[in-house]
Amino acid sequence: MSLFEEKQQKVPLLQVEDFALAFRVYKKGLREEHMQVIRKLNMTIHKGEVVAVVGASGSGKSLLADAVLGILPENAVCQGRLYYKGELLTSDRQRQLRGREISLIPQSINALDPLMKIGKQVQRAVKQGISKKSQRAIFDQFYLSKEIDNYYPFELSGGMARRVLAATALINNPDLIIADEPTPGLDAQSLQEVIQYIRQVADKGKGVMLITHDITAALKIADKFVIMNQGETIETVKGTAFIGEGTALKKSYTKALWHALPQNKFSVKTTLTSPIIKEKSDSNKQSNLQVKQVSYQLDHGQLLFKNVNLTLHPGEVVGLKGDSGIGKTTLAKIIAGYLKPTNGIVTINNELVNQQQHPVQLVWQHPEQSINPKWTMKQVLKESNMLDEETMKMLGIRKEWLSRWPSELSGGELQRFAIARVLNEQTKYLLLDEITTMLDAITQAEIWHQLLNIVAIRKIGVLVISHDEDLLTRVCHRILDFNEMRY
Amino acid sequence: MLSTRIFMKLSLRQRTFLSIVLSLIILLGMIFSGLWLGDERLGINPEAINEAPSVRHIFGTDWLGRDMLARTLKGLTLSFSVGLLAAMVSAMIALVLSLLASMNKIIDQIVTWLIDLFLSVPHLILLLLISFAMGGGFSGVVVGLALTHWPSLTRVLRGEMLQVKTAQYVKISQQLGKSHVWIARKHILPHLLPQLFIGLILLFPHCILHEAAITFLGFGLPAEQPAIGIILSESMRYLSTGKWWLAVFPGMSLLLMVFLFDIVGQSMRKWIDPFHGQKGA
Repeated sequence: MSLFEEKQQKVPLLQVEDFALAFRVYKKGLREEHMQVIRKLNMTIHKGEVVAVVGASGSGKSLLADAVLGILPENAVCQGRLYYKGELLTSDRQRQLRGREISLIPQSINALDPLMKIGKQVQRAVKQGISKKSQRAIFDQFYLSKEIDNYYPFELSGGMARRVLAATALINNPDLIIADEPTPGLDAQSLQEVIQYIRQVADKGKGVMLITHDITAALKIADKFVIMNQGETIETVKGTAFIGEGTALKKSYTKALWHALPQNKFSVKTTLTSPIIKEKSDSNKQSNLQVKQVSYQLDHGQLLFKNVNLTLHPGEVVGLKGDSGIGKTTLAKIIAGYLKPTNGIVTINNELVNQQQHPVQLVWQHPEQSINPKWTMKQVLKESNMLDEETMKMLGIRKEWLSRWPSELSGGELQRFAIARVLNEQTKYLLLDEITTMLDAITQAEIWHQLLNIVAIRKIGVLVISHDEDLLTRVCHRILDFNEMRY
Repeated sequence: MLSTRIFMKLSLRQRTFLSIVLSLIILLGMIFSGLWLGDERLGINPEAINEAPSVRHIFGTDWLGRDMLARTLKGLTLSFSVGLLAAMVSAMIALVLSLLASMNKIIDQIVTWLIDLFLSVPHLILLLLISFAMGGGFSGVVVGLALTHWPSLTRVLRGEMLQVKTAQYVKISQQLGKSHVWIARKHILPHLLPQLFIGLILLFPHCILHEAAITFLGFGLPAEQPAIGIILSESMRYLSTGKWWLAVFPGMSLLLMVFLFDIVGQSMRKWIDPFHGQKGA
């Protein structure tokens, strides 16, 4: 315990005191309004610590990172105090420190310049010393070989790109690293790698703020957890508190978050939904969706997958897992009729699909992209005639959301609309491509409960694509491994 | 400056509203005063030839003793109607063509080919040909302008259309069995409107200037009509003799009108489309 006490006595690396943040926004007709995003936030990070900031999606976690770096949008109004190494963090100091002493591992791979070679763009970030040498040195540390210097971002795999981003953030030897959602969409192995790097960095005496909603991943490396809900820090706990029944957790929200994880109880707070219907409703085996000998060739001739066979019955929930980038989404697009396969056919009840409205519908990972930003939510549902009260109620869509714009709803709320939209009368099969990866555990559990109930009642066949094996075991009747199926 | 300080104190909503109202008042004032003025104000007055600006003739008089203020206002009204009419027709052509291009690849290729065809011929020559073929005059100029100014805007709108067309929500719409026409109307059109609006405003001065150009060359409006183009081309001959007011005031008025039009356009966009109001104050 002495080490812990010693740490406590030192000046904290970063201290956030009663931080609040609001946005000045303009509604139609330019009515000015203040939107409170963060109400009250308190946290401290010491040297050698990984502090995980977890909480509901849309609770202002990423904005905290921007606030520390001083890169908030112009219309943000801040209150409260930020201290870095015991001194007040002013905007002048932020400008000096960011990229040198404080650095960010960004959320999205889009942060890389698509037209510049990897080596070059990382060299540009070097603030002192010989840029080429330090870039090579840091790449060696991250097991990024010499060829990678000459790659363009699109040639990198997801895991490699994450490592490049981490290397860029560490190149100037910063003291505080802010990692904003560094893990979503990574398969188990890449995830393990990225997480381990972050831990190693902290062990070298740096401070790390890990912003994430993936509690499972954070548990492996974080010393402390700051739990956020509705723009407030409700609790700060040690990582060891997340165990068993979670009795060490004080607040009910934290407990709910813990219990909502697929590998735990996968429970939801509200009693509105009945427990998941897991037993397969025995449907007639005659009707089915069949993927027969489907292959897909990429533009430059490489075969993405070959002779894939798959059968799906109504009322059945089937999981599909596999590494990143091996064509799970492409297969889903082929089944749903977005793409034509190079070879092979997809049949429903042994017939090719010829309806105007496709009986197989795909729900995408990012609802912000699959919903027209210029439409109100009412129009979104009206598009497929799904302004149906019962479905809305079952999916937990509130009436007042209907008049809002997509930018005014959180990811979880939008995803509910994206699901409701495709639950048309004509829809017989659903393909769900990582639909809850970007959402927090509680929202994830809620959506799956609601969705599985509808699916069971309507006898819809479902194919669930995900990296999260715990989730798949929880919701599926059987799980297929795409790694084995694709050749 | 007390007035600017008061102006900055108002909220963005009030400021935007105020700029729209003020600009519209001045714009409408310009146009209607031109309509109200009788033709007798354009008469020749041998007693007041080449007078510099004074209280009696604020914009001075020309070599025939005509009041330049009256001529400018008349000219502005004429130029405004020519410009607006031509810009609106051009923008409509651009919108229809870019929506048609969203239907299928063949139509898209035809539209692209049309754009290239029209852009490959110099603006002015095509304009001259059409205007001449239509027999010149007001209608000839408007038709000529309208038929030559759509290609660049169509290109912008088509680009935007292609971007929206590849969006996920459009793909989903297609899978939900929506027709091309439905998608063009409901998904693509709302995304094109802001571009169309800006395009319209930018086309407007373009049209006026081209109108002035062909009038100057003698293929446009008849010389007795006091279009700004005619006033400017006439004043060229007198500039070297020091009669600066003949060109400065009409030119400045045209500039002011375009500027006000631009303010109205920008403010209206902020008003209608709150997404653009979010950044900054």
